[in-house]
Amino acid sequence: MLKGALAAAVTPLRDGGEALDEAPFGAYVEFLATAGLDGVLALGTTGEGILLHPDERRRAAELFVASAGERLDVAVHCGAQTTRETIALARHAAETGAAAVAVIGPPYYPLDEQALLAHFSAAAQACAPLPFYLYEFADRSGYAVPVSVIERLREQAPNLAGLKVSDAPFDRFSPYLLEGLDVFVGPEALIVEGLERGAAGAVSGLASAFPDLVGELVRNPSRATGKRVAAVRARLQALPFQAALKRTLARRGVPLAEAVRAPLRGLTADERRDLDTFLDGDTI
Amino acid sequence: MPRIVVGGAGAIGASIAYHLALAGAEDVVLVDRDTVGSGATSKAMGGVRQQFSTAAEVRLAQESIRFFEELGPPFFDQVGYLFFATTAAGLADLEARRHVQVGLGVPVQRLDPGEIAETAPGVAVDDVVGGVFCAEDGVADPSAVTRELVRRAVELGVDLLERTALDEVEADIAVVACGPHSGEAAKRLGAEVAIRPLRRQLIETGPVPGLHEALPMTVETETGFHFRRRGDRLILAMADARPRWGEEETVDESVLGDRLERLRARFPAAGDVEISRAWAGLYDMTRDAHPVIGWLGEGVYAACGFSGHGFMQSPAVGRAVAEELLNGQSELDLTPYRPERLADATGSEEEVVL
Repeated sequence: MLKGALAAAVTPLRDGGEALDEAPFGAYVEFLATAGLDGVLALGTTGEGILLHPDERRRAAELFVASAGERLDVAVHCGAQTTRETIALARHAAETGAAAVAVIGPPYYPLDEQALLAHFSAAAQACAPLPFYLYEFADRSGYAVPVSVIERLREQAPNLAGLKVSDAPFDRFSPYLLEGLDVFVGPEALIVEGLERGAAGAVSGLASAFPDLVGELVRNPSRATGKRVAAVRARLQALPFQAALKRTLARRGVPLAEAVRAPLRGLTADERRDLDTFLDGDTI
Repeated sequence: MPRIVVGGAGAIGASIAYHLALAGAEDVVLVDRDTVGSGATSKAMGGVRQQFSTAAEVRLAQESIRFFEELGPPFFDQVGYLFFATTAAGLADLEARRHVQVGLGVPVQRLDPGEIAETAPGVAVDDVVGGVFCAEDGVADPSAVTRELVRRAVELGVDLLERTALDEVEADIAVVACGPHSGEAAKRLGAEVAIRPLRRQLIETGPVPGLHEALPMTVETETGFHFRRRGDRLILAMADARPRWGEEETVDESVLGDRLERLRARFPAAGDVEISRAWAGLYDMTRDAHPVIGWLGEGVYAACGFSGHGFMQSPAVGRAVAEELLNGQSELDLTPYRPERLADATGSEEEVVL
């Protein structure tokens, strides 16, 4: 079972984003573990999972799990466009030794309750008895997964442990705070309120490069700290997010390239300078 | 032994020449087109901080601070650097930065408004929400430090030639450390380095009654307004609303009233003081605001483009450059600063690890 503060990790890439970069995984996981996180979610939205070839996703999952050892729980995001591919990835994650599997509602097609239930149920079964988490992110899926689907999924999938919910604002988030399910908060701006209302922890994209900042917030949630973390998120989000996180990590000493998988784009020279100025402070 | 000619007797050039001589180089010439420390160095604020975001930068800063500590007062006052915020967003930036810096081993602590008032005696904190402080940072006297380094260099056998251009002296290795004039100096040697001069100005007040000698470099993070003590006066600065590119060094007097008002609000004891003088100097900006250190071509080496933080890094940079020129490599990491990274005008540097 997942707990506490997790980073939605970036995925190290090279060759202009066209290939997995295996070398930095160890150093990256070490950096996240040293900062005191409880775990990582690999290959989620921050991790460009949906943009990677299934073979790359499998390899990246293996590298995260092997690098983490006992130090961090690794949840692997296995959501894909088709049920078949989702099942294959979930099964692989379980075999690899992941601590959990998470799956987003497949993007693009609108899916009715019956279709969604069948999809999530098959995915949960594929990794059972490993804990399964439904990843709710309406802006990315194109729809919100109805709570009724989750209730029915509980009956069909005993390994449904909880959800990662990235919907905002809070009134779109709160319906998913369901009794008996562990909810992990995605949006940094909602972490404090989510934890107050019973969420089990946070899975944060910002924590992929600022694990210390977000970890501290989850351990000692306060409104003031929450606002500050949300402000940092907003600042990074104003840039191409994945590339900005990767540059930040590189500057913090994790030897990974800025490369992201197209159609995501890297930073322009001006964006790069703005990010450095944010990290260094103005010339004073 | 090859003859190394260092062009620019500012903080960077002086430190390179000194460290070359210290390491045993026998034929070192330090030239300046004007006089020692007459350019950007003499105009600089003199802040010395470790609060940067990469291991390489922090290492340069820490090595430099060790050097400044040895010089001690009056060259260096280890009064610390205080960044404070008046908004949640400003404090968010400081907190994010503090985490990065602490992760790199910089001892930055968080201060609440009460602690800020104690740390920076005289600073008004009624609108302050919090801040960060690094006690190991401080303020130095750039001209005095540079003159001292040149004095030591000459004592160790370095030839000093003032009113001499870099290309006027025959050299096996020419080191371009000409600050904002490095572009043209490199060009005269047949090399290229893209440096843009940016004008910045400083203001000195008249005597301020009761100025505490522990007053740190104090920076208002939202506006960039900052000040430090020098003797019985304060020196203040703030970035221009619009960057003023170019080589001209005139003072924009239209903002002086605003700056004085800001000071009076932030430092009530300065309520009656007037501006004693204001001056402008030039930053040597690169496209990414990081310096250029390395070979530009056969026999031409660059140490320029420090983009406003050259003085504070000059001790370590001088040592690193001397080591690289004499031994082919330095123990300090200069790879983030190589000229090649700026060569690609399209700005696609995806593969560059910084």
